[in-house]
Amino acid sequence: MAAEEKIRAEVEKRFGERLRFCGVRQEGCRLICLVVVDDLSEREEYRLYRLAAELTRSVGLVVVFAPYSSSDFKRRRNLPFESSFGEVEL
Amino acid sequence: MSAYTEEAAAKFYLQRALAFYESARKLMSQSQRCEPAVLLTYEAMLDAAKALLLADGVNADGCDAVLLALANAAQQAKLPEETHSMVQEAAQIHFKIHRRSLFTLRPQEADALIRNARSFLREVRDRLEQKFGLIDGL
Repeated sequence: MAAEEKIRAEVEKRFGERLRFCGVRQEGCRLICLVVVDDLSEREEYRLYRLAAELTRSVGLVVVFAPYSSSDFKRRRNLPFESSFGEVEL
Repeated sequence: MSAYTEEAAAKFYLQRALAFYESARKLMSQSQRCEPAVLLTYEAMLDAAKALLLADGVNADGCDAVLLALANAAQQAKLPEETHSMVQEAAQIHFKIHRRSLFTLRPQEADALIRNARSFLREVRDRLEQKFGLIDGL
């Protein structure tokens, strides 16, 4: 399975129907993942950081997450980093 | 790189890591300025990671190269996965600051990172001492 697909599958498994968006793009040897989830808690954000470490070990690229709660993302969607993933339907 | 040079470089990076760490700790305890404290802590962890890798004969330059080399060492069971995870978490928090999306870092995040850095630096110091003997001033 390609690295991007593996990341999406892990994120979908973790958040199920609460997942609003998961976008992955590669910059050099880094995979940057924008994840938008309904009511994302601080604990879940921290667990995503742990997942990033696991994924880095398994895919051989540095995986970093940019996690957002959907309500928070709405306020930030036009900022440069957030909008660089294209239109995000919430 | 010769063994002597690896030893000298590893000790240099560890000394510098400790200096960054001390600065971060003071900044946090005196002013609760999370962002600069986290940036310093991340530099400390990267330098300590470089020292750790050099002690194993691996010369990694740049933060992503260091993270990948640590991940690789963990995959080969040369390093606990937890050690790689600690440095990768620091990279996540560093990335959060550099997204520049008007985030305010939570003080708990900075405190946790500084605590992790402390245990990581101790682990690196112990490994370097096992390999190279006592290190002056540490």
